[in-house]
Amino acid sequence: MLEILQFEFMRNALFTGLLAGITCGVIGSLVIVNRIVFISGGIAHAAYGGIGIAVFFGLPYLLGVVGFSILCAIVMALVTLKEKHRADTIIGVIWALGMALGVILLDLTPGYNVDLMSYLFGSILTVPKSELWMISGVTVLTVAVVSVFYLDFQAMAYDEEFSRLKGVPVNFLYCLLLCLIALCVVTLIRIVGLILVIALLTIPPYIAEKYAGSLKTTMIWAAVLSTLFTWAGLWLSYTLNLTSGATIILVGGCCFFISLFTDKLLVRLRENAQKSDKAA
Amino acid sequence: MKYRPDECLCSKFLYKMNGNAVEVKNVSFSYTGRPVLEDITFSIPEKGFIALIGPNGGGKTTLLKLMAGLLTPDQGTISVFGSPPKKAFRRIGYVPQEIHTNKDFPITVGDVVLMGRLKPFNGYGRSRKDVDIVRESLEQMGVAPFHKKRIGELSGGQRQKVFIARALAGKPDILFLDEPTSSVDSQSRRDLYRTLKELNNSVTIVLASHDLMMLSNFVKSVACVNRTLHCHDNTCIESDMADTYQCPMELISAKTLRPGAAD
Repeated sequence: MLEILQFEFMRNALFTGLLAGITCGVIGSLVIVNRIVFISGGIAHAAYGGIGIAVFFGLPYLLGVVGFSILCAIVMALVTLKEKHRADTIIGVIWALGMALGVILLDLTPGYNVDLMSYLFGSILTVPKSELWMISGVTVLTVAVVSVFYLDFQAMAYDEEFSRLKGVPVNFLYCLLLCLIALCVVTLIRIVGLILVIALLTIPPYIAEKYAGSLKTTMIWAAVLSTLFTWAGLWLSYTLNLTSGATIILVGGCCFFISLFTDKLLVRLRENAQKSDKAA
Repeated sequence: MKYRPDECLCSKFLYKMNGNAVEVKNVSFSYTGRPVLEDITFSIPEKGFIALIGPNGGGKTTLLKLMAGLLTPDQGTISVFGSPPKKAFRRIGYVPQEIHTNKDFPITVGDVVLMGRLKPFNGYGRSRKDVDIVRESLEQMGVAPFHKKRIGELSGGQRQKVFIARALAGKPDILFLDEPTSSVDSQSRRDLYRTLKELNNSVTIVLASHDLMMLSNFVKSVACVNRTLHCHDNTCIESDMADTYQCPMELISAKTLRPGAAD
């Protein structure tokens, strides 16, 4: 098992997994307590339009993707704040349009044949050093911003009305949160793929939230779980010679169902214990 | 809502003159074109204890939210301690009606109450003073033993008390409560009103409620809200209120029939 650490690409991949895990743990917890998984999915998929724009107009990849997804995030934030009841439809439209725009722009780019699969499932094994620096930056930024606004984010997610009453700038924080999600998603697309980003954003915090006493501990446990899923998936994909991104998702998915099953089992056991108590 | 400066000064002056905690003047409000409140004018004296009664959909919650600064009126002005409600937010405590939202949120009872001390952009900040005030509010509402539990583990009545403790933690001068007894059994209801009455020594209290029978022993005045508002300085309910303001009959009769007389 240890021999895989000899390869630099493997060490990079493990380090990337750790960074992605921290970012996903922090942002993912905020995503599920605010119930904005759909918006996050929308941002991640619409980001594909940014890839198309970058390639077609010959812009730097990051400029295109970051710019476009933050734009989408702000539009979605404004729509959700203004017209809550229609928000999901509009987000769905942006989701699909962004993706379609990306595909068409890539079609129109002469002599460019991009591999769609690598954006969907990523390739954590081919992360260059330069991108490692960028992911580190995003991780530090995310943790810093969330620490500074922690109580405000918590109050906003728990009781928006009350936090408005307390003078919390809810609209600003909501836009900030969606921008953080956009940043988190786009930096991770090349590495773990946009489908995996959503899986990592939702599964670990979902499991962590059930056992954690606070939002902070949810974030910490979610970060630990994301990292473990990524590492376990990497190791499995290496030993079984499978696609790394998909293997990581499957590990997470399996844990998701195991956690559901153990919860059911625990409830059943507790009920039985109570019954036998009563009988005694 | 734009408050003209002269209006603002005027209400500050009025506040100093007559010491009314809340002044509502010609306020109208509508949701998407449907009028909910029309031309409401009334005032609440400092240290007042007023109950808003009226049918569901009559505008009680809307009126509370307007006074708490969560909504802005279409017409008219509201001042709380002489300033617009949004500027007086540090002096306002608000207890929402809906206490079942976000039951699964990973947060402890203590942290919910700490929210009452929230100052924007303060990170993890909680001072010694905050912690003390949180403990004090929890004890005041009798929910201190649960402070480390997750909010979802509590019963409806206990959660209601936690939300009142959260409002108290902000050290308000006026407390707005929206049907605070909706999920509380009748014994705890009485305890709750008793606690509110004690609080009333230092805090103005406005509450929307249905159980007038019990309330009448505690409140100082009653206002009936059904799109328009009628104020009563004593808690004597006149039978014509039922006709004029379409308050549900059982609310009115509940008062005239003393507890015990009904059966």
